[in-house]
Amino acid sequence: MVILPHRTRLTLLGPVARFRRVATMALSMALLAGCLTVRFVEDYDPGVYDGLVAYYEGVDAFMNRMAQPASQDQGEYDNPEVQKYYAESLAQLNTLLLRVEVNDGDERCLPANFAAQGIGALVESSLSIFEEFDEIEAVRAHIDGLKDLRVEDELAGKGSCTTIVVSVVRDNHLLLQSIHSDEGSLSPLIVSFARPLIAQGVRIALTNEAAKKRD
Amino acid sequence: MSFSDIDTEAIFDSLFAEAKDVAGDAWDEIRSFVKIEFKGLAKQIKEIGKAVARGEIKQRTARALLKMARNNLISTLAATTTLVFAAAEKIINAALKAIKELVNGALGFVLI
Repeated sequence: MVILPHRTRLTLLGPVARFRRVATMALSMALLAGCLTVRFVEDYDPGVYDGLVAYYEGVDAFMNRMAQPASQDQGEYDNPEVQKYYAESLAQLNTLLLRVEVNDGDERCLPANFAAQGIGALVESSLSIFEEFDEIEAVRAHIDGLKDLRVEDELAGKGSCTTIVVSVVRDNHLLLQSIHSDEGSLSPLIVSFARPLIAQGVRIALTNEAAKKRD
Repeated sequence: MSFSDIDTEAIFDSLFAEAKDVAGDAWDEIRSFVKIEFKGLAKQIKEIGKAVARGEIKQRTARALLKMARNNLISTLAATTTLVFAAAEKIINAALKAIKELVNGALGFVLI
C-alpha cells in the first residue's frame, strides 16, 4: 500500500467524506486549543512571595544584630527581645505555611513518575559537584547522605512543592533557634554559616513561587 | 490559505517551533538554577566541615547546619519540579495557541 501525504489523501476523498474529515479535524482542534488550556501548577500567590520577603528582611536584620560584637549581651538566647523575635517570626512562618496548605488542596509534589525520573537524573548528574569534598572526613557521612537522597522518597506525600519549600524555610528557622539555644548566643562565625543557608532556603522558595507566574 | 490546505506537517512544524523556543529558555533556566543552588550548598558544606575539623564549631551545631543544607537540597528538588511543570505548561499552551491561530487563520474567522 502506498501511503500518500495527508493533503493528497484529502483531495482524493469525495465531497461528503472530505467535509466529514475536515469537520472532525476542526472539532478535535477546537477541543484541544479552545477548551483546554492546561494548568500543571497552582496560581502564583503574591501573598506568599511578599510574606517570604518580609520574613527574610526580618531574619537577616536579626542575624546582622546578633553578629555584632557589641550586641553579645543583648543577643543571649534568654534575652526577652530575642525570645520575642523567635515567637513573632515563627508565627509569621506558621501563617505563611497555613496559607500555602490551604491553597494546595490535595496536591502532591511529583505526581508523575516521568518527572521524578527526569529530575532525579538532573540531580544525580549535578551531585558530582559534591565529590571533590569527599576528602573532608567530618562531612563525608553527610555527603553520602545527600547522594542517597531519592527524589520520590523525599517529596512524595508531603504536600505540594510549594508546601515543601515553605516548610523548609520554617524548619531552617527552627534549626537556627535550636543552635541559638544550644550555644547561648550566635557568634559571628556561626552567623557566617547560618546566614547563607537561611538565605538559600528563602531564595529557593521565592524562585518556586515566581515560576508560577503566568503572562 | 483555506482550511483544506492545513496538513499535519504544518501543524507539527508550528507546534515544534513554539515548543523548541519555550523549552530551550526554560531548560537553560532550570539547569542554571540547579547548578547555582548545588554549588552554593557544596561550598557551605565544605566550610562547615573545615570549621568542625579545626574545632571552631561544636559537632551538634555542625549537624544542625548540615541539616539546613540537606533541607535546602530537598527544597531545590521541589522547586525544580515546579519549574519543570511550569515550563511544560508554557510549552503545551504555546503549542495550543499556535494551533488556534493556524485554524482560525485558515478559516478566516474565529472558530476557537
